[in-house]
Amino acid sequence: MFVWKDLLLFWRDRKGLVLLLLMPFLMILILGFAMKGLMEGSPEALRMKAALVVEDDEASGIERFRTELRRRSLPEAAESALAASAEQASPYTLLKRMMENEEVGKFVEFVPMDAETAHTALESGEVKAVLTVPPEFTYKALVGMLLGEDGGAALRLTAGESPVHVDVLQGMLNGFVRSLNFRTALGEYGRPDAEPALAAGGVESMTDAKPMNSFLYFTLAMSVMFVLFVAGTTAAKAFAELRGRVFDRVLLADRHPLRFLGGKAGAAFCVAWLQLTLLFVLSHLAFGLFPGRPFSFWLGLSAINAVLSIGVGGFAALLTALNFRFRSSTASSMFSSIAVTVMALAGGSFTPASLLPDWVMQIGVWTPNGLAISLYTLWIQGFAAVDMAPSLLKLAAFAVLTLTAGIYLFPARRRVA
Amino acid sequence: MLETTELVKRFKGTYAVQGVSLYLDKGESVGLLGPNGAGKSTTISMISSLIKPTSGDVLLYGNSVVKNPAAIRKVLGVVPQEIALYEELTAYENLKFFGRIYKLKGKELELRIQEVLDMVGLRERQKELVRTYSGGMKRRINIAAALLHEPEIVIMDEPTVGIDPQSRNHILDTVRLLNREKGTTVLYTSHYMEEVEQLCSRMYIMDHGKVIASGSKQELKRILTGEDILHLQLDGPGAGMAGELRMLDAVLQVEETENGLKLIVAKQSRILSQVVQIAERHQVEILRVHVHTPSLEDVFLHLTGRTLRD
Ligand SMILES: Nc1ncnc2c1ncn2[C@@H]1O[C@H](COP(=O)(O)OP(=O)(O)OP(=O)(O)O)[C@@H](O)[C@H]1O
Ligand SMILES: [Mg+2]
Repeated sequence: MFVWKDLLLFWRDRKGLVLLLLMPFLMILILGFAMKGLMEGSPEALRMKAALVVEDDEASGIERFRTELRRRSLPEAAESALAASAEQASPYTLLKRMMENEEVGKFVEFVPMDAETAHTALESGEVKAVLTVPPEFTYKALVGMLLGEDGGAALRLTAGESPVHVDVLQGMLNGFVRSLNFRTALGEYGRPDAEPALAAGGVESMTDAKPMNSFLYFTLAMSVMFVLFVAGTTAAKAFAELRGRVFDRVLLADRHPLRFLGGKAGAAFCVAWLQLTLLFVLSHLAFGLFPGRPFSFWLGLSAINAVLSIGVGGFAALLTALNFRFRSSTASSMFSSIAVTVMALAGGSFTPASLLPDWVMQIGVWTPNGLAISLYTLWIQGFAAVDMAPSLLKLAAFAVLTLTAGIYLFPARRRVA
Repeated sequence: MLETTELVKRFKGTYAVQGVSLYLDKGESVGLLGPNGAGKSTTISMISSLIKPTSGDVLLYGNSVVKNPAAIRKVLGVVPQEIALYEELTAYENLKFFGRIYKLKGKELELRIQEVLDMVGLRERQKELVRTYSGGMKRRINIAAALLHEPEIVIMDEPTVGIDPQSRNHILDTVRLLNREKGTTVLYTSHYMEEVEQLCSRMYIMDHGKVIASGSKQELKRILTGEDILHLQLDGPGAGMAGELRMLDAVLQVEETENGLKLIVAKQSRILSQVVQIAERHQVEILRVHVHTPSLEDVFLHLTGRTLRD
C-alpha cells in the first residue's frame, strides 16, 4: 500500500516524470547525434592504413598442431574433433575475416608488407601502425584455444604517434585476441582431463566486437545517470511527507516506520526499473539499437535493470533516512545535484570510461552507474554470466549496503523531537 | 479514560509545556483553549504518542501511553493542525491510503470512506485532487482521514482555522454528530471561544505551557463574578489614557478596542468619575459607556492579559 501510494504520487508528478523520462531521452537524442561522427568514426576522420606483416605460416602451424595432437594419444573421437576445429577455426583465417569485416574496414585498411617495408612505411607515416602476426601464431593460438594451455594467441602491434587511431585498432585487436582465447572453452569438451581454464581476458564473441554506436552508448550512459535521480526524488518526496505531517499519520496508525522506508525503497525500485526499461525500449524503437535480438536478450537487459534498480532503491532508503534523521532535505538535494554528477562523471556517463584518467576509472568501477554500464556492455556484447558476476556482485553489495545503512539510520518509531 | 499527569516538554532549553494535567471522561467533549504558542499542539503530540514527554505521563485506562504507544494509537484519531494530506491525490485516494494503514480493506474500507465523506459533506467531490480544493474542503478531508478507523477518542487541533463559514459550520456539525450521536470522546483545540462554548461541556485554558484555568463554562465565568466589564466608546485614540487607567487599583485589565477601551474592573468600584477625569485630562471625550457581565473571552483576557487571537 505504501508502494501503491508512492507510485501514484510519481504518476501525478508530471514535472518529475518529464525529468525522469523525457529529459534523458532528449539527451540521448541530442548527444547521440552530436557524437555520432566522433564515435562511429566518420570513416574519413578515423580511417587509417596499417601494415600487415605475416611471419607465421598457417598451413604448417595447423600441421604442427595435428602432430601435437597425435603425440598426446587422445581418444580417437576427441582427436579428430580437435583436428577438425583447428581447420575450421584456424586463428589466422579468423583474423583475416575480422580484417575484412565491413565495420572494421571503416577504420583500418590492412596492407600486407614484409617487415622491412612496413618499418619504413611506419617511419614515413604512410601507415599508422604495423600489425605483426608472429611466427608460430597459428600453432600457439591453437594450443591455447583448443587445448586450453598457456601461451595462446598473441599479436604484435607497433605504432607511431597518433594515439586515437592506435587506440581504436588496439581495442579491436585486444577484443579479437580475447575472443580467440575464449574459444578454449569450446575445446574443453574434447579434452579428457578438462579443467575449467579460461584464458585471461574473458569471453567475447567475435561477431559483436564492433564499436559501440553513439546512440547505444548514450542510451546506457543517460539511463544509468537519470535513474539515480529517482533516489533523490523519492527521498525528497518522503521528506515532504515528514514536513507536511503525513508521516505522523503513519505513526499514529501504529505502522512501523520501517514499512514506510521499505515503501520508499520499493517505489524507487519500481520507478527506476520502469524508467530504465522504457528508456531502452524507446531508444530501441527510435534508433534501432538492438536489431533482431531475441527475447532472452531483452530479459537479460531487464534483469540488469532490476539489479541496478535495487541499488537505486537502496539509495532512496539511505537518503530518506538521512533526510529524516537531520530533518532537512539537504541529503537528497545534495545527492541529486552533486553526487549524481560526480558519479556520472566517474562512471563514464559523459565520456567513455576508457578515455578517463586511471584514478577516475578506479572510482568509476565502484559507482552503481559505472557498474551498470559495464554490465550492459558485457551483456550486449554477448559475454556470459560468469564474466558479469563480479560487477553484478558489486552492484548487489552496493544495494545491500545502502539499504542496511538506511535502515540503521532511519529514526525509529517516534517523531524525532 | 484518558489522563495526563504533569506533562512537561522541553525543546532545547525552552519549555513548550510545563506541567499539564488534564483528563477526558468517556463520551465527553472537552475544549483546549490558548493563544499561539501556548503549548496546545505540543500537549496533543504527547498525548497521541508522537513525541515523548520530557517528564510526566499519559494514561489510557490507567496504562502508560509513553511505555506502550500502541494502545492509544488504536483508539485515537488525531486531526492535525496542519493539513496532512497528499495534495496530488484525490480525496478518495487519500482516504483509501489512510484507511489501509489502519488495516481496513475491501468492502469495509469502501464503506468507511463513503461514511466519513458523508460526514464532512464531500462525497460528490471525492474524485478531485486535494490540491484543487478550497482551504475549508481540505480541512474537512483532514478530519475525515482521522475518523476512518472509528476511533473512540478524537483529538482535533484547531480544525477550523482560516476557513469559510460554510465549511466551519459543517465541521462543527461533524464534531457534534461524533460526540452526541456516536458517543466519541472529543478533545477540541481552538482559538475560537464561541466554538468551544458551543461544542464542549468542559474546557482547559492554556498559556505559556500551563493550564491556567479549567472547568465548565459556568465555573469559568464565576471567576469573573466579582468583576464588571466597562466598554468606553471614545471620540479619539484611547492609548494615551490606558496607562493611567491601569494605575487605578480597581482596574484589573485594560484593552484597546476598535472605537475605545475595554476595562475589567472590580464590582461596585465606583470608578466612573475617575475614568471621566482621566479622559478629560487626555482630552478624549467619552461618547458612550456600557457595562456588561463577562463572557468567556473576558475570562481569557482576565487570565492571560491577552485576547485569544493576539
Ligand atoms: N519541535 C520544536 N522545537 C522547538 N520548539 C518548539 C517545537 N515545537 C514547538 N515548539 C515551541 O513550543 C511552544 C509551544 O508550541 P505549540 O505548537 O505547542 O503551541 P500551540 O499552542 O499549538 O500554538 P498555536 O496556537 O500557534 O498552534 C512554542 O513556543 C513553539 O515555538
Ligand atoms: Mg498548535
